[in-house]
Amino acid sequence: MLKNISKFIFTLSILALFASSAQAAHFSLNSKKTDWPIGQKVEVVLNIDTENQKLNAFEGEINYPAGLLDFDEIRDNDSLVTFWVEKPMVTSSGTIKFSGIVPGGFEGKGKLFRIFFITKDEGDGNISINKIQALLNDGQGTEVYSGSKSLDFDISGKIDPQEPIIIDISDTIPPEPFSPIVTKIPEIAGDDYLLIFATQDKGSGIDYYEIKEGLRPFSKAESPYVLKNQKLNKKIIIKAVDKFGNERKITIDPVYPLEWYEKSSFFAIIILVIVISFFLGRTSWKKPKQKK
Amino acid sequence: MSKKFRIILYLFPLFLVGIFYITQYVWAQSTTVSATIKINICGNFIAESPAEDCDNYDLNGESCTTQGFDLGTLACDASCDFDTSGCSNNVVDDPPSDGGGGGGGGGTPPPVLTGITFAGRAYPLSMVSILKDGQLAASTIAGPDSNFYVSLTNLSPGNYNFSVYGEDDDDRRSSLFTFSVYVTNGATTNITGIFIAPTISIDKSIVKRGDDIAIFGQSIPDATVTISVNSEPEFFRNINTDEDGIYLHNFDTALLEYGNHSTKSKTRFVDEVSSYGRSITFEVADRNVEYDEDIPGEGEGCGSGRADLNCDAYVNLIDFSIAAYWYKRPSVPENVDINSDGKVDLIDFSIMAFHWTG
Repeated sequence: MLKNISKFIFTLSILALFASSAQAAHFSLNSKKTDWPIGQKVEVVLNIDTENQKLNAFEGEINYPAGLLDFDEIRDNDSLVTFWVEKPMVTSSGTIKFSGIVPGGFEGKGKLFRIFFITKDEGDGNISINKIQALLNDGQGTEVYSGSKSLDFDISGKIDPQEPIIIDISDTIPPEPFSPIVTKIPEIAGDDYLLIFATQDKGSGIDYYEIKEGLRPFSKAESPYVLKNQKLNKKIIIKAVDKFGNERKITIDPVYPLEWYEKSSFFAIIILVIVISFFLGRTSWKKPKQKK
Repeated sequence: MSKKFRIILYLFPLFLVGIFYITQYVWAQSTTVSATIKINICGNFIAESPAEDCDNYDLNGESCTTQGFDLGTLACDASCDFDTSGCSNNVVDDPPSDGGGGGGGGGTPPPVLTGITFAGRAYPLSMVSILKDGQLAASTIAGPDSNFYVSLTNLSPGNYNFSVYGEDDDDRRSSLFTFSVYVTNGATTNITGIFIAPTISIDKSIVKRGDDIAIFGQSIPDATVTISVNSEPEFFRNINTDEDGIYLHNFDTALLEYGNHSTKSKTRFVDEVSSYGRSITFEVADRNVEYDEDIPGEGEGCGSGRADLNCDAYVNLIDFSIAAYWYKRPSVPENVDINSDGKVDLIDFSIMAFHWTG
């Protein structure tokens, strides 16, 4: 009898300890297949299950064997993350870092991003998630216990010509419209004007941004961007380009437009008028001479 | 003492700890309240009642006769409401001169834009803002009955994070009501049943033990607000809102121990319950200090206690950019370090995401 009671107490206690740790977030790496041939483009998805909690910040590091896998690209077009603090990217060979937030929080199961690799050598390997952090949407940034599931894979043999190849579904929709902000932030650029912008592309994800100020050509840029024309008297065009090359252009009219007499076109017209007057005058001056 | 008794004696504290954890866990699970939103898609050829009368050809079994007409062809418009323009009554006062005609019907249904609509309850005549992926997408004013309706069109198909918040008569903002939705191409997704949590404020940040602390805010008119005062044990008070949705409760702090406490509120209206809104903290001590909403860390004011880094009364992409610039950098300015721990890390961003206004 006493033995049974002891067993019961022990089981209950173990269950209780599990129950207390059930308040957690779970990260997992998933792929449709885990046995791949050499030379194949493979997709690995990083998912999260918040396990009935509202979380608003995620951070971590993915480690993969660089000897077996070549990094190809990352897609975040269908990510639950709204703003990336550190956009997922390869920071060193075999390491991808990321951190991002969801204003208002996220509860449920969702996708963080997809990684594409090209298999390059035979062997067994493992892609793991490390240094993970998930924080509650409680206004305090309380960390929750985070578990993770890594992905074991096996690369062997050459690619089968009959094997279906991953084909990207064409994305023809440009990135989402957005509203860039021209502002001064002393903590970043002192008294200089900055341009702040961000948008998303639901089809394939944002590839890069370009900015054109006045007559200057487009150049690649990141937010926050210190404006070259601090007088704010010229048009600014911000171009968001997705991974399929679709563009969304947003134009900001000059904040302090030039007066009519300050515009170069005005001087061009004046010079043109002077030149024409000069030639007309010269020809009309010569005519009486010829009559003599 | 026998060996068996000793074993039980050793296991008993473990048992107590186990029971404690189980009750905590079960309690936490059972007290989780979440407002339920209903999602239906106008344009998916399925009439999802009660939000939709119909959807393209799916007329939900209805016809002109069930709509009170004698004859004709019932149709469905782009908003998934019945279009009865093709219905008529069998009373002909003035027969058409040309005769004939008629027929028609069928044909292609009207095109449905890719978009989303939001409907729910906020506060009477309050400003309601919709954030699309963290950026302000639309604002509207709720009606006197607190109901609001917002429509967004020309969206790309894909997964979006939408947030809704309201501002009460005193410009206090509610917590964000956030949800993730997949917007379908060529269809209108309707989100109904949004119930914005009440706003909350207090009259004292430090209250003398035994004095009352006023807990007040705004929700929908003639509803029941449950105020929770977090303590050991937790206290609950139910009070009714007036015709403007205002609620006020004077809580007797004699019930509370000295130290820090917090309070929050939720609203119940008929069979709908909002989630708990923002939590607000106060201290029970031997003196009274008036609550100042502009002091950093207390109210909605800017400063290191809140995430409004540039003090423009909004927590948005500008504040995010400032924090992102100083992320993991040394010598962080004091006003950028939200939790005052000497660095900008994920915790600062989490606090910012909680206070986000777009």
